[in-house]
Amino acid sequence: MLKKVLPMTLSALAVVGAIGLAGCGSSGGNTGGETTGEATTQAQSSGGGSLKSSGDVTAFLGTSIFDNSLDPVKGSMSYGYPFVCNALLKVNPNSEYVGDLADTWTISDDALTYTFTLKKGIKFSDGSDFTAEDVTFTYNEVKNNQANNENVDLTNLESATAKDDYTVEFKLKEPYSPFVDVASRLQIVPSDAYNSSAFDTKPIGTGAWKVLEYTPNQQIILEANKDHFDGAPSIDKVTIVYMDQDAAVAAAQSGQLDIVMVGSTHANKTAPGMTLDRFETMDVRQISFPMIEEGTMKDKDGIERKVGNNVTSDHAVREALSIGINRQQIIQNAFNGVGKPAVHFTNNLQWATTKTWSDNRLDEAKKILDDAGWKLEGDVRKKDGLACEFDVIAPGNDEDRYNLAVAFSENAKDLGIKINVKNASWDDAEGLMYSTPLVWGWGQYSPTVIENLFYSKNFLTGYSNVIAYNNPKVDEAITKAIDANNEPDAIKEWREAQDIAEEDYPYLYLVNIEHCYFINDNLNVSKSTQIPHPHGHGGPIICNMKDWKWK
Amino acid sequence: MFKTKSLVSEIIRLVILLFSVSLLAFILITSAPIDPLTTYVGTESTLSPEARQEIAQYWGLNDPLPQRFFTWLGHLFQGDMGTSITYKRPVADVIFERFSMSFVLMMVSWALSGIIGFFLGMACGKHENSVFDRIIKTIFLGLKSAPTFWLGLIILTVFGVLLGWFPIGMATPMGKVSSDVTFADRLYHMVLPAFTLTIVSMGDVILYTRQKYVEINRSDYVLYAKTRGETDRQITRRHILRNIALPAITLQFASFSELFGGMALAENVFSYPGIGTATTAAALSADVPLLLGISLISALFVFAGNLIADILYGVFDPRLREGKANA
Repeated sequence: MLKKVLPMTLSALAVVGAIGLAGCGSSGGNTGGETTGEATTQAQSSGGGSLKSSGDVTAFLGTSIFDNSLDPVKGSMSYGYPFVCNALLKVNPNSEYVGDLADTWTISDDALTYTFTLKKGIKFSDGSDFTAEDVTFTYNEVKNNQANNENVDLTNLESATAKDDYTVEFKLKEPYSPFVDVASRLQIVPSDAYNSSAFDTKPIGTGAWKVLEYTPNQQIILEANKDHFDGAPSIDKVTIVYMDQDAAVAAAQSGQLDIVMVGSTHANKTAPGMTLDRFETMDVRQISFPMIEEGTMKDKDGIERKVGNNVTSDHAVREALSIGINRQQIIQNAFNGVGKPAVHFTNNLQWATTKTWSDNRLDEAKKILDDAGWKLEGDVRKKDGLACEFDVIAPGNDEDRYNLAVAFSENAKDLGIKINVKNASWDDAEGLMYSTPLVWGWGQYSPTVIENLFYSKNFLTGYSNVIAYNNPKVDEAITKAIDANNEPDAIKEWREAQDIAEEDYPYLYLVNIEHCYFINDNLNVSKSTQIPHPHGHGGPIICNMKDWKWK
Repeated sequence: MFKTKSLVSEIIRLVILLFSVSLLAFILITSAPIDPLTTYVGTESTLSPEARQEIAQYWGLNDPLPQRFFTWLGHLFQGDMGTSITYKRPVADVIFERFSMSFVLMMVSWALSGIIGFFLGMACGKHENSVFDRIIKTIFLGLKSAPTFWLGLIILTVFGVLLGWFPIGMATPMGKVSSDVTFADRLYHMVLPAFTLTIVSMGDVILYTRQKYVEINRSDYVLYAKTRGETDRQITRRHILRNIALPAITLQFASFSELFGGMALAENVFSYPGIGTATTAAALSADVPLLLGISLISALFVFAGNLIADILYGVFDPRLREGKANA
């Protein structure tokens, strides 16, 4: 009996010993996650891993890439960094739309017809030729199954027709200049080989990579497509793994991963042979300020909603906050300094306004509040008995947004404005968003976000224009932008809309997020060909995976 | 005769159980303050109202609640568990995929904890209050109160990172396609999670078995057997083993439900594939078909555990067998 018992006992003792050991390593008061960090630091000093400098790349990019199907028809990879399939257009590092599968495109004068001329000689990875018929097939498939695709919206598409093998004509129901964005997001699948369930895990495309194997919640193994029309990748195999964030950091520190996505809370950690690198994004965090006074109104479903806010509806409060706070300091406090101050959408977007101004103008901001009748009484200003105080909601139980809101609230104290930060689920936030400022996150190539945020008729229809912003001049510019029959005109109008709206300070922009990754020192992820990363930390770094090289 | 009768009654019980579980899960998920359309589309999305409408219609999100439930039930009877709105794939596929690998892990650690735990408990009972008994008792009382997640992290840190003996996670080696994965690979990757789950769930069996052993060892009939001159081995086999087996079996099969908790742990700490993340995703995005599917499967699983325990009672205890026959 004892013979059987002994090995088990020894292992049990080893565990208990280990608990004691790790307990010594972390010097009191640390959480479980920290313990891993401490223990692994010891690993570095004692052994350290031999660093990889060739062969396959293994990457941890968060877990969201495993949440969805890989089928483009169902909206996969439609944020601008597909790897198995290509779209007609793509976004280049300057956020401009350029041809990918398409060579050139024209827009008719009435802005209703988009004609794309396709590149010739491109093959899908199964060997079949890419032609106009594949394009019309893909677009019709999505149009007929819109319910399966929440990312690419084709409800405005009247028809997609192949004029010849290399010309596709799209007819729209109404003018819609962001259609070029749609064309850059929807990737083309082969009409003959398409199979809805097989493409969930093993899509076939024209892209630089082929899926070798997809194991749910484990890994996606990609193999270079040597016949890719735009040049074969220099790395043969990339594996994207599924892990817990803490386990991934531990794996990085033991030298098992080459790329590890980390949040700003890990920004001061180290891993042997790896460097923490920051990547530029177009992702901003902004706070919505309800523009009208408190009351109740019926929304589109006829439900009575609380709308408006008596404090933020005052222009002086919004302006003073926008120019008076110190964004750099807020970022320091909330994100360990990771992120850039932002006062509007980022300049790495073609359609974003280019005007810029400095903040931290405390005296000027105080004067605006004084002049508007908000007088300091104790710590908080008051006007006609109304305290200069409001709630800010950090929705979705997102820790980053909460930290940001708290740092903002601290900073606003200097102005005599009291801000109470509340955490809420999106469902609770939905009931409050028409009357309470909320932290939002936006980061996409498409300028449709401007219409979403500022167009007056969007108020009370859902998550768009929750602040009741209403400016006929802005509405006019937005309409003109959407109706435009060429990109330069559209961009001009989108900028115009932002410039007019900015004078009303309807949204307070705080930060332009930066994405952090640990990267193997021997691996070059070609920063010069990275596109500015869109919303959603994790995936975007793979946007130029075919340009990656071992040094 | 009695066998058919009990079989029928078991099946009726099962059907009632599954129906109540799915109805309850349906009521809970649909009354949760979650708008499935919003979670599907995302709040920070520029999708047009027309597209949103089309999505809601397709997935039947606008239908009255009783209709939604009975539509689902109707499809279920035709063998169709529906399509998950989160994964956009058939529910049966999602569950099968997630369940298959972790099922092996769960069964291995369940069997190991049962067998090793039983013998350790016996050894402790036999050498009551010896140094060995005290050490084991202390360790497993301590482990019982330690949070399993934390314990998993410690084990991972020590054996995976510090010593580097075992992989840091996952069920197969990174970057290796499944056709190249050997049995040894799978076994190697299973060691740490199986070890953690085993020692975590072993405590109960050890402590109960030990207690029962001590109790029976002091009973009159064991004393009588000793006076009759039976050897230790004979006493253990004839009198003790059978009596302490019953509580151990009950305990072990009742712990079927706890295996799901263990699976979530393995999934998080050891990046082992499992149903836990799918359950969370289903609940958070009000994915009704997936959540109902998972509830059904888990109910079935737990029911099977209890049923097996019932059957095994008969095998181990002739009194129960005869009792049923007479009824």
